[in-house]
This record gives sequence, structure tokens and C-alpha cells, in this order.
Amino acid sequence: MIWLKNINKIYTSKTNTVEALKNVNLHIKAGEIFGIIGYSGAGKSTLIRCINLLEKPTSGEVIVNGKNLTRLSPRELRKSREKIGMIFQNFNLMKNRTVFENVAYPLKRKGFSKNEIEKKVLDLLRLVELNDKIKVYPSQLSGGQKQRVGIARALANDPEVLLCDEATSALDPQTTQSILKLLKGINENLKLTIVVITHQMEVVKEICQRVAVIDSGEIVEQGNIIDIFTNPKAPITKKFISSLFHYEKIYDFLEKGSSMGELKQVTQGESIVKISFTGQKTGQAFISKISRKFKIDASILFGNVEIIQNVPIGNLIVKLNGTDESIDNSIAYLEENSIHVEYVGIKNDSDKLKVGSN
Amino acid sequence: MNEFLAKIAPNLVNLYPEMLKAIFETFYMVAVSGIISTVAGTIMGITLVVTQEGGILENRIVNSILGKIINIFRSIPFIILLAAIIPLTRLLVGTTIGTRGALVPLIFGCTPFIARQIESALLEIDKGVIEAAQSMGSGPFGIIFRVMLLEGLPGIIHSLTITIISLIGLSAMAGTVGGGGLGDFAIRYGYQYFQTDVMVATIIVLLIIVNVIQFVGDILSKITTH
Repeated sequence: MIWLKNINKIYTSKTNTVEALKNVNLHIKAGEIFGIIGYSGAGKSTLIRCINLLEKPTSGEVIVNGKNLTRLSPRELRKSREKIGMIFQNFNLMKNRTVFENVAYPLKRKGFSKNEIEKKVLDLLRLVELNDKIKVYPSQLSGGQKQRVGIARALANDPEVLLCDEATSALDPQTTQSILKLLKGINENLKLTIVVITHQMEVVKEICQRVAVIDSGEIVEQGNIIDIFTNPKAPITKKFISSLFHYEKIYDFLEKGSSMGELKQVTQGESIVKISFTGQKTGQAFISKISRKFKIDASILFGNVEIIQNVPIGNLIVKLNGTDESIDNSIAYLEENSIHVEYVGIKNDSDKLKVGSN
Repeated sequence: MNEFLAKIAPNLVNLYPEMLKAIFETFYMVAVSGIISTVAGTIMGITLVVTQEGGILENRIVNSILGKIINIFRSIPFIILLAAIIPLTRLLVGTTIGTRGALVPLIFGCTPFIARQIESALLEIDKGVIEAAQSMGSGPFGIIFRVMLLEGLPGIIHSLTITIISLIGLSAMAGTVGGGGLGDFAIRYGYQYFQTDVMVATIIVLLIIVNVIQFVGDILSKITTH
């Protein structure tokens, strides 16, 4: 559906040059919700603007629905943009047009009759549940309602792709959820390909099937969302994931110690590990199994389960207490059952072992 | 009533027809030069905005040349401009006196002012709205006419109100250089003949005109703001 090939974007001014995008390659499949996550300044907004060529890449090719946008004339490009809807962080509605007129804007001067336009606009407003606000001006709407108008407007030309540029960043958590639900519904019912740019892992978790992580203009990691969530590789991805699962707190807690003396004391024969499991396997059952089978004590220090794309992903931080051999065997056993185990903090006489925060 | 008027404003009673004529001349000068300079100034203002760096029709050469021309005309005091462009006035309207002779310098004095006013009104428009229109496939002309002028309308009305009021002031000045209108009337009878009642009456008339324009402008600006 969307191919970005070797995209580079360099901003040059008199004093310096900034490489906003470095050799970005992405393939977004038809009908999926694809997330692009990164911190502010990572280049995400530039990247999404390269898809409809609001930003012209310095080099590289943008192919949307079989058309190479980078090679089109301005007129052809404008025609193609009609099939690529876009919504924005600040909604970007026209203040001096009513909700109806805002949604009707892209339909006018296209040869539709007044009745056709009216029917289409009312259908769209019903879809975004704003049919009672037709004659209202944007200043009288809440943020969530404004974004709904933005979505209706973006859908007016029956696009094949919807680009969402931080569409929920200006909204409160509850409104964010309702907008995400709306986007997901649109994706399912209208078979629309959606590209989501965000710095919020929650947004990715909620609606995306695949995700790319962008850092300093480079795609550092991309893949299926469950793989990314269970087995992040790039440090920045790990950071995003741990902020979602709130690991950071527990790592801080383990590193700096706590008022609970017995937790920070990792003595001989003790290991602290992070156990990650997906799907139907429950970590709990395995912990009691290893405990019985290998005669070790296992206490859960921290636990968290997130449901991502209907798959539960669990993480437990567990303190294992037993002989080195039995701990090694337990871990091997867990890994045989495709449960991912990672040392978090262990301590004994060998210096390969340390308190880590990854 | 008439006796009372004759007592407090003896000269005005006699000059009453002259004054009506002067008011009409002022309206004529302001209306004709106002319409022409609004059209020209709006085109220039839009050109300045769309050709600036990052604009929808970015063009540094056009932007800088137009900007410099506007600055040159804006930096010449109107009274000097009046005299300086006399040859051009004669060429364009065939005369340098009367209300027709005043039109050319008024247009030249007012257009650059309107251009800058429209420019700043249009720069107030949120860039995101223009970006949204681009993302929906609007071309430069669609964006100018369907987005910028509409979104900038309250600001444009506001700046046109200011322009018309200052145009009345300029027309009074033009009047003194053989133009006619209220400025000429007040200077000739009120100042040179020491007829204080004429001077006071002219000021009152101007006060009313200016306030009505401001009032109407404020209302229009308000109803176009949402």
C-alpha cells in the first residue's frame, strides 16, 4: 500500500544542516494500522508528511497505492492527496466555517450536487457521532469533538489511507480512548489503511498491528507489535516498553534499594529475573511448577499484564532462591516453554553478574 | 431654529450648500480611492504572504521586490507624495487639481498601507489550517480564496476599517492641494477666513463619519468571528 524507499530529508539553512530523516525504508500494508513511535524531535512528523508530500523528501521514493508520488506533477499530486486523508494534533479546523462546512470543504468544487454533498456530510457526521453539532462553529467544540470533525473531514474524499499526526496528543486519556476506538472502527469497517504517529506507547498498544520505532531520523526497529512488546531489541524501544509496563520504578527500586530491606538484599544463591510470557501461558502456573520441580523458592516482586491486540502479555519480576544449579535448571525449563527470562539483579561471587537495568 | 442657527453659526448658514458639496467630495475621494487601493492592496498583501519563505507559492525574488516597493511608498510622507507624483497624476487622470487629481496620490499613498495591513491579517491565520487544506488536495488558488481570505476575514475587515479612517485624513490633506472635500473646506473658510463655526461644524461632521465607520467595522468584524 505505502512504500517509503530510502527516504532522506535534509534541512539546510545558512548556518547549519539538519538530517531529519536518514535512509528510511518502510512498507505499510493495505488495511493495517501502522504505528510510528518516537520522542519529539525524532523526525516522526517529517516522516508522516513525506507520505503525502507535504514535506518533499530530499531523496528517495514515496509510493502510495502503486503511484510514485515523488514523480507526479503538482496537479497530479493534489489529485492523489485526495485519497490520503490526514488528521492533526491541533485539529486544524477552519474557525470561520461550521462543522458542516468544514466537512463539506473537500467535497466542494468537485461536481457534486448540493444534495449529494449534504447527504455525504451528514453520513460522515453520523459516523463520528456529531450529527447534533452540524451548525456549530469549532470554537464551541471540545478537543475530542474537534478531532471527530477532523476525522469526518479527512474521510470526505473516501481516502484509502488515513494519516494521523499525533492525533490524540492534545486530548485527555478518556477522549484519547474514544478517538482510538473510532479509528479502529474506521479501519475495520472501511478497510482503511491507517498510519499513526505518536509518542505515546498506549496509542500503539491500543490500535496498531505493526510498529516502527524512530530515533534521530532513523528507523531503529520495526515489526509486529507483539514481537516488539515481548522482545524489544533497540535500547529506545526497551525504554518505550518499560515506560508502558512501568518497569522503571521497579528497576529504580532494585538499584537504589528500598525501605523493604529484604528486597534489596540479594544474597548468595539468589537471583532476580524478569519473566515475560505471551498468550495463554500463565506465568503464575510456571512459577509454582519450577518451585516444585527444582526445589527453589520463588517470590513475585512485581507483576503486570497488558492485553495487546487481544493477546495478554505478562511480565513478572521474580526473586529466585536456591542453589545455582537449580536456578539455572529452572530458567532453562522456562525457556524451553518459550517463556523469556532475563536477569535483572543477581549477586554472587562471579563478576559476570551484576545489577542491570535492562 | 433657523434664527438660532444663524446666531451661533452665521457663516455656516450661508456656506451650507458648499459644505454638502465638500462632504460629497470627501465621500467620492474616499470611496473611489478606497475601492481601488483595497483591490490592489489585497492582491499585494496576499502576494507578500504566499511568496514569503515557507509560503504556498514561495518566491523570494517577488517577495523582496514587492516588499521594497511597498516600503518606499510607505516611507514617503503623504504631503510630499502628493507633490512628488504630480507628473504621474497628470498622465493618469489628465489633471492635478480637483477631486480627480486627488485620487491618484490617495491611491498611491493608501495601497501600500493596505498591503501591509492585509499581510499582517493573513499572517495571523494558523499555518496548520493551510496545511490541512493542502493535505485535502487544495491548490494555491483554492487555499487563497477558500481558506486564507475566509479565515482572515475578521482581520481584513478590521484593517480596512482602520484604512478607511486614515484615508479620510489623507483625503483632507489632498484637498488642500487643490482637491476639494472637507479638508479644503475647513482650511479655506474655517482657517483662512477665521470662521470658527465652519471649522467646528467640519470637525463634528468628521467625528460622526469616523465613528460610524468604526462602529460598522467593529460589528462586521464581530459577526465574521466565530
